[in-house]
Amino acid sequence: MIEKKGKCGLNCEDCPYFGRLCTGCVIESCLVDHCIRGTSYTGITHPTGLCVLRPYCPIGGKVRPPPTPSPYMRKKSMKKIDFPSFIPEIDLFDQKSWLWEEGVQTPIVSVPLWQLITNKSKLSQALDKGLHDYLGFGGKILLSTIMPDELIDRLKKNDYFELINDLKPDATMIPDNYTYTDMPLYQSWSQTIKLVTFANDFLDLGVSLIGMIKGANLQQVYWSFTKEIEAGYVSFAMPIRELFEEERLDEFLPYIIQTIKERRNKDFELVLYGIGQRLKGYRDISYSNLSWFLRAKRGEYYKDGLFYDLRDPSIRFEECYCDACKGIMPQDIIDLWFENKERALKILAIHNFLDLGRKWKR
Amino acid sequence: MGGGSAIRRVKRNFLQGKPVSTGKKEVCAKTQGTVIVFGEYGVHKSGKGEYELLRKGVTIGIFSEAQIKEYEVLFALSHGVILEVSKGGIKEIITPEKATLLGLIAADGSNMFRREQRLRGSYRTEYSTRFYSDDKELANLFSMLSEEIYGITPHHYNRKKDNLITSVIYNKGIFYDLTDLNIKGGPYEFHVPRDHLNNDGKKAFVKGFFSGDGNVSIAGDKITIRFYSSYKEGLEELRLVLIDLGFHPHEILEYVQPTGIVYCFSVPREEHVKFINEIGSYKPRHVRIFEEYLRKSGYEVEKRDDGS
Repeated sequence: MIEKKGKCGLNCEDCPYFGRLCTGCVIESCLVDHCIRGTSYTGITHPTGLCVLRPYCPIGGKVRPPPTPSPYMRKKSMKKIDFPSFIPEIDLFDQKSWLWEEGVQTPIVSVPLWQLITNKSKLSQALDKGLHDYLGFGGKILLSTIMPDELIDRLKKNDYFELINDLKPDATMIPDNYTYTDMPLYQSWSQTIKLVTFANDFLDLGVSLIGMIKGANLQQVYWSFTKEIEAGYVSFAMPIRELFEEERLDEFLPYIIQTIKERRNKDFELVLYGIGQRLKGYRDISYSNLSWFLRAKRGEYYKDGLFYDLRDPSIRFEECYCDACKGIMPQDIIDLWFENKERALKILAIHNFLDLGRKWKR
Repeated sequence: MGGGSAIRRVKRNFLQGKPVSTGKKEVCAKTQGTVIVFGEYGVHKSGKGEYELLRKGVTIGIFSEAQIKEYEVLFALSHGVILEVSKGGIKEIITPEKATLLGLIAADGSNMFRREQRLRGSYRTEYSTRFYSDDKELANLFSMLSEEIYGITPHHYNRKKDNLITSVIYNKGIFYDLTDLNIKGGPYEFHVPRDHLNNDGKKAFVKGFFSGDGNVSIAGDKITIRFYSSYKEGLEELRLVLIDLGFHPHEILEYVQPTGIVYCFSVPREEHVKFINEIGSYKPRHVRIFEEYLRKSGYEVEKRDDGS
């Protein structure tokens, strides 16, 4: 059912921007609506004279940018990339995270594009050699396009194409976008259409593609990933850190998994990006994060897919027989931390990687 | 990544996102004003005295207050952080009050979380930030700073056998705030957030640390000022901070003790007066020794703004 009048001041039944795509303002948390009713939020709608949402506000007095028209989707036959249960992300600036240099077997790693585009000299080296030679890694390289908002707007289609053609990853995600659950729907619908446009454009690339599952509400999520499925996408990535931290993941994820299963007849793969622990109740999905390494640097130890402080009494004196620990306990890692921190960190990082990979086997 | 709530995003970036009552509106305020430019950053000041932070013409933050200086603009964020905008870019600077708190925790504190298994595979997580001292004055200082910076009063536990006071804050947000600053990294480590400290912050941090893990020993008319820790890397960072402040601390020495290796460095004798006047300590015993030393040496005791 379409709302008659949106909070943006337009008639939703005859929306000049999104037609029937947007069913109208149903979000209770819309920051524009809150401000008009009397509550502004510092850094967004307050100070009111400098509100950043003016273009989307019926009394804002600023012209809104034109939306991207919804593309006509082409179709391409695609094969699954075969995600393992855990895809470690690496830190391009810290070689201690380059597992293969320690002899650890991993069929695939995820490389964050944002780290390259914020460091000119590393980008230049990677573009010259290609990612495999630059990293010295013979397995599959998945290029992650997930990045901070201020970088998302910088890159256009041709920029992505040049980067991907020179970096030569084995697979790439389609570009990231930003869709906030409390921002006016005009912004998130514009971003969602942009996502789908990229999904269509990227069909011209000669590299395996990974669709992106994102949206400020279920309608946007559903529309964007069904468009991707229509275009032939079978592999998907979903950044979930914010939704997980806000305890809203269960509003989205079960529906998404069920819908993809139905639409793809269970022939699909999904990687959840950005959280460092196992989710209860969800099977047959992969995870990707840098937490295995970041938490090791902070002296945090994974057991059964959950992280603990090394000094936590519940794990401190438990022996572990993984290929990294070989019978030692967290207390031994603490002792080693004082003698030889680098070695302790290596053991802990590899232990974390093995735990995250082992416990989430399908 | 761009998901979830926009309010949480600005909380992460600029510690903002707080609700403000602004009354129902039928029209929105207009903006006119001047722009101050610092390299690729600009600060737009509206006619109503509000501030917009721009990077290459795009708004990245809005603030209701700012302090404009000749070469920089400062925005007060929450949790003891100031955003500094200058030709060098933007930087988060820790206030001296927060730097003191961080110094206390780095010396004699901890920042940890623990899991407690519950029934049916679930668990509960306890986040705690602690400060340990046998000085009531230092425990009170920790409480006062915690209330001022975070609006939270710590719990206090007294251990009768040795009068050790443990001040504890149970708060996930504070745990992650300190984790992000890497004050307490791996097990029994500490680090100095040097990139986020200006000179006042550095002095405050060192003072807080010295109040916890510093030592002043007396031999006749002479005193020795030393910093101790079992974590050498942190002590090296602290030594660099003193060098930043114009001191010339001695090299770090290593002592083997029954409980393990301890590292320390001392402040040169000729810089003792400078140390006492510019940094000092909150520990009552240190303060008494310093006052006595200055009196015997013929110096007047300088009173600082914080009363020490």
